[in-house]
Amino acid sequence: MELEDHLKEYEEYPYLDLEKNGLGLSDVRKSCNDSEVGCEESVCDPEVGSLPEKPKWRCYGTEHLWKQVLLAREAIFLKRNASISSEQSNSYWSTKQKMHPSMYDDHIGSEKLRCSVRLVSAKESRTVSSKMSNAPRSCSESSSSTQTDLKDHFDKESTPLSADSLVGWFSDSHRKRIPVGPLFQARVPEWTGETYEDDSRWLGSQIWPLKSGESNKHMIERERIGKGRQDSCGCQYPGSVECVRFHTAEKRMRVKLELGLAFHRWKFDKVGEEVALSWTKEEEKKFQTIIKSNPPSLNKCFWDEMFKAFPSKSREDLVSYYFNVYLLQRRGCQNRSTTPSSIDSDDEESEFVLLSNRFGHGAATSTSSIFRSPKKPHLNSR
Amino acid sequence: MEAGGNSLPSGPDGVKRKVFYFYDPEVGNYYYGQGHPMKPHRIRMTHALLAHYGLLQHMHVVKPALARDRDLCRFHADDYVAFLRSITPETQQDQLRQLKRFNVGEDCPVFDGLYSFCQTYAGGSVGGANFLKCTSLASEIHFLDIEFCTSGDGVFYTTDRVMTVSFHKFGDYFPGTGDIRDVGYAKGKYYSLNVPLDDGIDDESYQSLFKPIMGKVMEVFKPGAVVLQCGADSLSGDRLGCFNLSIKGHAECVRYMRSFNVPLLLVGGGGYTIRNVARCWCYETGVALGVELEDKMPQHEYYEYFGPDYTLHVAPSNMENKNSRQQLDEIRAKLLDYLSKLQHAPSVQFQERPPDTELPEVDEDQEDEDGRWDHDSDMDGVDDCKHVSGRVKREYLEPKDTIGRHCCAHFLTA
Repeated sequence: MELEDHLKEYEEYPYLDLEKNGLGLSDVRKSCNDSEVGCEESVCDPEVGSLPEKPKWRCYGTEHLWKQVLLAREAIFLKRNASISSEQSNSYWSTKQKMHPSMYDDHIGSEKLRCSVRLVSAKESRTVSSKMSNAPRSCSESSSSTQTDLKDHFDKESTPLSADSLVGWFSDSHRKRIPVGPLFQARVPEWTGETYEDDSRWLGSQIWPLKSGESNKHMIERERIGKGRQDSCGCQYPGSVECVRFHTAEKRMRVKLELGLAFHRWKFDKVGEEVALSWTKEEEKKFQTIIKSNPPSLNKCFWDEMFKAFPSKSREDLVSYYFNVYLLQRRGCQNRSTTPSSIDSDDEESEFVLLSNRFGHGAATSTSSIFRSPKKPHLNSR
Repeated sequence: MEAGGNSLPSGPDGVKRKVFYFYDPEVGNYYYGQGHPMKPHRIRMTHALLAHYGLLQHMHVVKPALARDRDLCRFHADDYVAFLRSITPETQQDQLRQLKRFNVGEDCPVFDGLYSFCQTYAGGSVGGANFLKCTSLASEIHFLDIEFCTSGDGVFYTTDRVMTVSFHKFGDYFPGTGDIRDVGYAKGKYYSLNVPLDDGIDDESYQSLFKPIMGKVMEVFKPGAVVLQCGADSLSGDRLGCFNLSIKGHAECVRYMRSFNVPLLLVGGGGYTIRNVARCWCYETGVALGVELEDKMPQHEYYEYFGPDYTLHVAPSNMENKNSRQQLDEIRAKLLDYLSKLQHAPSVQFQERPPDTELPEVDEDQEDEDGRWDHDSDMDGVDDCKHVSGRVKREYLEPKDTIGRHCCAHFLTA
């Protein structure tokens, strides 16, 4: 049972530094002997042996139990992180960035890496693990080490997981443990009530309500809070682009009068189709042409060409035009289009999304990257 | 609607509250790159909706101070902060090792203005937290941190001073943590709760967990302040999320937490169908103010984003709810059982707020996406997480504007 217990403990806290803490076995034995620590899930096997120096690990064969334990731990670790690895290599963005071969080096111990991974197939790890459970144990002396902080890593009061077995753990692929250790938790110091220097700067600068003297809010009529739009209007073609533009301008003027200086401080003067006022018709046409000729379905990025085509416009100007004018107008067309359904609007990949809707399956297979969302059959929603 | 289970005297749930809101007008123009689902523009859209529904006019709106290097270094490793400051899209090819080390470059891309973006929303968060501390009357604050859609990263996994409750999609899904059995470690045991949910959870199912669990958490833990991360990726139709909540269902959580009359910090989080993000956060700001908004959206600069119906609310889809009644009952029972192991709130008692006290409230609107995207969070080198303290400036106290006896510090960092 001791080997399984040890592996179970490793399952719980895989980030224990191997070099620093060794296998933790001899120290556990020490603490067991001291009767300070409950040994519910501690390994109390004095026979596993002490750990040679890390560079020499490779020289030893699997007849040594400590070697078997190390291999098993690695298998668990790699299996658990295989999903992270596939995220990194299969992520939507990986086409843009090549992995340098040195990225695959093992960095256990010294660097603060989130993970160092290599792809290992689940089958391989299971093969290794099944070897572990059958391996004979060798008797050897173990010398005590001086791992004094290992005790801290044991959860003294944890209830044993129910129905746990060696096979069960390896198949419990969903349970990725929360890492515990000084690198992973915030330090929450004792409350002293002391004042943080400059705390008043964190209050920021007040934009609203306006300072007295700047404000006219008590003098003019304000719309009722929460008010929506009128049910009907007197425009010749209600709901048309022109109707919307008119009522938007009307409302905007009202808000501008209500907000006064805050309207400009919040940059509402640079919001919406107003942004196009500083663009010529030719520039706008060029913008649209560049986007159309670099469709996402061909895996193209239109921004490269865009930046080159508008040397006099800043990136902010171009991004602002994109969201405030281009996308808005495109949505306007979509909203009035007679073809049914799939408006996934604010997406650059609307073309891509439309395709996936038509064929009825999700945009991507599921991996660990948040981009690879599980199948989304309900993409066609508002 | 169900009243909150709080013990403080308070008005009806719809009582108007004074709300502070943090917004930086630059935030909308940061751009993660073509095709990336995180779009800071959603914050700008929210702001326009707030103006046109008349909500901004009823709040104290503040532009947050930018976080400086040394502010960030209170919480993050120096080398991480230095890396964020120096990396640019042009130089990133020379920094592959660092990119991998800090998990930057793909899902968390390097984009123009990355560092000032971090300074912007970190400034909002710290400002909001500072204000929260000022408005709480507890002499020690225990924070309750509620997340919506992605499981927490365990930053408070070992402390009993912060209780973290995370409702999230769990299964074969990023990030893989957040099993119901993950309840914290050492001193933090039972101070973390993970609520694992399956695809398609709807309003009713969600509330059948949220209210009983959070009700008991408030009763047992008695926090001095609550941080609620209102990630909108739990909404129906989210580009990445796979839940089926309506905006009203989502906001019901805000409404419920608000009813406890504890200083409340609302922050943003995920949310990748930006028209729904703007809808949701606008509506929830209304909830914070105690105001209902008309469904027919007013015409405004971003009106066309919300077509063809131009309504504030959208119906959830007919996707299958994979959370069975039995599963939900088991989850609830298990979590309530964990909570029963917490006998009493640690150390100092929560103090009732005297009825005549008028406190300002704070609200912010910035980018602070969930931990998945957050350049500001770093699992490799979390350092101090000090509480900031201080007094609120006199000029922010405007008794004549106070319209409710009980105030909440309310931040919306988006």
